[in-house]
Amino acid sequence: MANTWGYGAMTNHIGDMQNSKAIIIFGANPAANHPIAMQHILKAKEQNGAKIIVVDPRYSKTAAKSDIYCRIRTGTDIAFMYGMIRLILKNKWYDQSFIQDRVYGMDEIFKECEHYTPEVVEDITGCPKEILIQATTAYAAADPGCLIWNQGWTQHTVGSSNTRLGSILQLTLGNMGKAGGGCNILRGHDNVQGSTDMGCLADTLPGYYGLAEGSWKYFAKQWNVDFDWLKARFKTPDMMQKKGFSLSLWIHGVLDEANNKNNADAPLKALVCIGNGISTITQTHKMKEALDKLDLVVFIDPYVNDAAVITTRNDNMFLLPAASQVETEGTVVNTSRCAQWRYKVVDPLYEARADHEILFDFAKRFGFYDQYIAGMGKGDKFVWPDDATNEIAKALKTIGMQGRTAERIKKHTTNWHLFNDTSLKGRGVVEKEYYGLPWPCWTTSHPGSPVLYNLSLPVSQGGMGFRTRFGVERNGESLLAANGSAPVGSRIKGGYDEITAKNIEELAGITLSEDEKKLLEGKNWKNDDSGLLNKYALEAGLAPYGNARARTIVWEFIDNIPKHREPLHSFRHDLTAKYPASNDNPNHFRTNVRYISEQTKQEWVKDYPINIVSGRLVEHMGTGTETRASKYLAELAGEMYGEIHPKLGGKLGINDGDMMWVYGTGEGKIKIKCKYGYTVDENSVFLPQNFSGVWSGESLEKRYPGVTAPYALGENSNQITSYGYDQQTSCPETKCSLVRLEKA
Amino acid sequence: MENSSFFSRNKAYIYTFAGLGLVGFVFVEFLMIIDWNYFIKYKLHILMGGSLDGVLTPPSSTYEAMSNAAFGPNYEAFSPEIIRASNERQLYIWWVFVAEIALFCGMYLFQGRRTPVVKNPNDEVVVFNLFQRTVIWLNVLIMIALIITGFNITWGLRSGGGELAFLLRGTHEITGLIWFPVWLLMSIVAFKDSKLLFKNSLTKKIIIPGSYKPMKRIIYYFFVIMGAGLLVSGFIIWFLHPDVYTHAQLIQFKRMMLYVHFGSSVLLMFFIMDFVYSALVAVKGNYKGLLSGKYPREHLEQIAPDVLAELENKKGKMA
Amino acid sequence: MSKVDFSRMKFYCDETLCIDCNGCVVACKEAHEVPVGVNRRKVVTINEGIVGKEVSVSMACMHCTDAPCQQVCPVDCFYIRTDGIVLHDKNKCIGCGYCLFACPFGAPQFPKDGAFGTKGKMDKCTMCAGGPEETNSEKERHLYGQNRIAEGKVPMCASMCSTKALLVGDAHEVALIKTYRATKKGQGIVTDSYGW
Repeated sequence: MANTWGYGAMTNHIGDMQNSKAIIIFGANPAANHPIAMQHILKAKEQNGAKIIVVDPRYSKTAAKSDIYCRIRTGTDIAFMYGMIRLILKNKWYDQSFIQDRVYGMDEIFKECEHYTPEVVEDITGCPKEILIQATTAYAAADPGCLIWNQGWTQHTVGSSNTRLGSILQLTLGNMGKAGGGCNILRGHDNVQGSTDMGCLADTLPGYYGLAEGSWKYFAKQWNVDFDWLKARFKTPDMMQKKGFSLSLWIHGVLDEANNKNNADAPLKALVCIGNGISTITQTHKMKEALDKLDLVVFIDPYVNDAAVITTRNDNMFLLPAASQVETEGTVVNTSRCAQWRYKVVDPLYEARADHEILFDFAKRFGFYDQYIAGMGKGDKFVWPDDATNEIAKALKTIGMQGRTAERIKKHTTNWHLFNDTSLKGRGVVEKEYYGLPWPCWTTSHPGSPVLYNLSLPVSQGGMGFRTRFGVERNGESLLAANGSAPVGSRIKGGYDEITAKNIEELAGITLSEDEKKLLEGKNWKNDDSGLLNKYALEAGLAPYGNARARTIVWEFIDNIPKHREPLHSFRHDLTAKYPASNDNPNHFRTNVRYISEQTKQEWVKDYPINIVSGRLVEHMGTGTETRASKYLAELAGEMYGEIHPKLGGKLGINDGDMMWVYGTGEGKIKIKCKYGYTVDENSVFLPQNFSGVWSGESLEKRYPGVTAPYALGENSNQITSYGYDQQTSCPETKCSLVRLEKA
Repeated sequence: MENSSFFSRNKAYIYTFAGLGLVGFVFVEFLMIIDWNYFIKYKLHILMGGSLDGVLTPPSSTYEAMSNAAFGPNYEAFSPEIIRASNERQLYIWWVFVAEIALFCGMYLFQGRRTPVVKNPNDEVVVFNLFQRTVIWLNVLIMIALIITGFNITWGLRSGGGELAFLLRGTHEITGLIWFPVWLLMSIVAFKDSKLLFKNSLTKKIIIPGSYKPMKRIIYYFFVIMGAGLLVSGFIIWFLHPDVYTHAQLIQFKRMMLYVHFGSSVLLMFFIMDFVYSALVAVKGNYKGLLSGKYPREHLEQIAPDVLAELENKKGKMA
Repeated sequence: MSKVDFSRMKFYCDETLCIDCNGCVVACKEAHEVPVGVNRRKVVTINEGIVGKEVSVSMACMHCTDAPCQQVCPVDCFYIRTDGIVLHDKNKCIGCGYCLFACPFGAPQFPKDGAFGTKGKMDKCTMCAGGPEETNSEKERHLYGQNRIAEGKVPMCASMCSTKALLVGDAHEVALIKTYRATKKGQGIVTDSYGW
């Protein structure tokens, strides 16, 4: 999404879904994964008359509440959406003025969609064409309509194309930038957004700044450290600017010697894993190999990380007990970009230590503690986490964090009863502010921006256009918003470039004083510490990041416009010739990743004829490390299983309740209980991904130290998911795997 | 002439079954609100290999399906009867006992007590060996314990509940478990009719001597069958412990088993009373032999000549 | 003088909103420290996977006016409050199980903690109204769990319901809410989130 219109985050907010007149849900199951958010969806359905449309290979609990349900084969969302766009085009349901004013490159999309007639879509996806037409009609007729997705879209080789086409669909219908519309990605964890904002990604610095030297220099200044000192921490200068190994691909940096050349001629030797369930990445057996091979493994976690019992190394593995969230204090950022302060309830119990204490201790022992804390500017007299929060606010200008000081966030959390749940508007002492100051929150007096790209509000109240991120023109065509398309109260009644010291005077209609000119020399809105650029921009009603068109063509990507490509292990092998995977990528996050060679290696579906549909159980979270240690949750959902259609069970000779072996296209196999159900079709098996602690039929309970084993153990389903990574983000393709089932 | 001999030979059977039939009819028709149609169909359904959940016809609507899945089917078939019976049983069942006791008192008044004349009390014959006596007395004690603990539940209003009543109820279940082998042994030991079917040294050693007269035969078979019913239904009630999620599939079956348990216990109680009357009240001198195992020859000559004949035969054969 | 109008407390679960998240089940177990194996509340889903027909509903003791459990109990350990909440005295209970046979909903639960797995004392949903012990005493909490009604709080399950499918309160009020929801369909958002 960031590549479509500037920011890659949920564009509206959770309560805002109540304002929708239609909600279409692809690849997400809010009823199981976000039960509280489901309330808003159901309220929209009940009180606002919204139509709920669910597009999913499985009839999930969300689908049970839907008005229209479309069952598609896994990995065929792009074909489905192009089918929708074609119908929208043919019936002229698109928002002509919106496209004209605010979108670039729609013609390419309209050209591509011609191929996807309802018959073609039915052939590729398996969804009857009548239902496609019904769903599209209902969705296009609604104004506003919001689109929800989550890991059902991102965990594919074409995940990045899925998400882009979803954004494009919303642009086509003009559903962006309004209440009740938008692209609502319901991210899984309560601080996933916060963690990516902080740069827990392999290809960005905090705040999504890139890895170029300019960004590093900026951060060196923010952190009050010498840039050259920072540079010298890396083996070579180009390693500093290189994308790192991603979460799904690091194992290849350990195991595959060919990747050493991407990593300064050395394999990965040590792993420090802080609060991450790495056992839910695909190819678990390879992960075990990698963990066994490393020189040093450290897990920092309140519970015993499931990966710690999967590995069989006997040396140099450390488990450091971390404090849980109630034993420490800080901010979290939810999927709709709102910040919340979390107060400490108790001091850490037993030997647990808060994560920051552990990291500070490491810094002291490694000898860079002083530099580590320099960014807070208080020496070692800092107050944690307030000073850190203010440091973050000061530094992360790209996402407009300047307004989110510790004081403001605490005020919101302490007064959360004064905010309206649906509109996030505050009253009383927090009047005119939006709960959690959703970013971008350009200044310390800005109320936050709950609905992104909303032109009906002035920028100082949270309005903005799309971001000028990709330049001002391409191939002679302007990428800026059309004349007349600008936030309310904007001095420039159309599109403009991102604010820099060079254009601020012209755009804002002001004259800078000499002192100001000195302060701002060479700066732009992303690195202006004085705050003057934002101040003048807001006064003139301008968004600091510019006002441009959203683009449907991403010229930096492998697929400029989203293209349907069959998954690497496709159930319909006959279609892989027509919609092949992309080329192999020798340096994708420092790893050699196979695409087309994997897809064409063999006709996978012959030996592995069953499709996996993976998902979450409502009782468990993620790896299940924490929830399976809760006795009531373990009582409700304590056993790993595979759900198949009774007809498939009949064909395979496996009865309801029998144990069965599931063989994956890699080397893994798992032994799980068979459960009959109608939620999947006759060619699929549903596997929950929340279990760990059993390895191919063998219980790992004894490997847990002391009494730390959770109540419920089960097979880790990632032992049998297939190889495959998104061509842009390297997100693993867990949603399109093939397996073979046999009675145990 | 045929009629009378037939009648006199089968008097016990005729009276018993006519009596049961009449009383049963009155109860079933006027005093119970069980859905007997469903009761019989359900039993047949299970015997024919169907499921236990009590759903005899597929649900005709989503509401009914939901009701079956959430609560179990046909609530009205058994539960109202359980409720009615539980309330009324406490108050009226002892009148049933009074009636039964009155019946036997009446018979006593009518027929009096047979007292055998024993001139040589020391001329004794061994009738029951140690093993048989152990089984008999264990059976007696355990049954008394079961009756007491069982009625502790029924007459809970009088006990008012509490820890003792709770312990007694728990004891009822465990005692029932212990009764199983004893009942089995008793059934084998008292299986006098087996002598009509086969004769071998084992039967001679284990089974008590003599052959059944009609009334005693009836009592014996009721003991076996009702005892089996009580044990099976008791085990199921105890060990079939549906959790909240399997409740709907098993509760109807458990309700039926509860009714089998109650019905069996009522009938068994009557026939136990009948046995106590006919063995100990109607005849004098049977009690001592149950303890020592020996009876005076003259006692046997007058009261149980079939026993004596069998013992002489045995002795004769052995000699 | 006007007559005193007592509330009649009732549960209501809207099956069009219940998403089988088991939040109510876990909330109740956590709040009252119910042992594993006993579930005062459960969620029943029928027609799972059948398109257009899948329905879920959350059930616990329905606190019937003519409670069969109260009628059938041989030691008469049940008592029904004026506001309709059906409670029982665990000190009187002998664990015979008749209430479970009589209940159409399977609300009474028995922990299997006696010797040979004999049943313990009956436990069931109390609508968070405790038991006959002194209100909010440690004894009451130990035997029956929290007494939220005495503190003026909403029972745990309904307060935790993700989608506000489960409602509890005076029958009139609950019916009004349901009527309001039905009549306001499609007319726009009128209620706050996290209320009802």
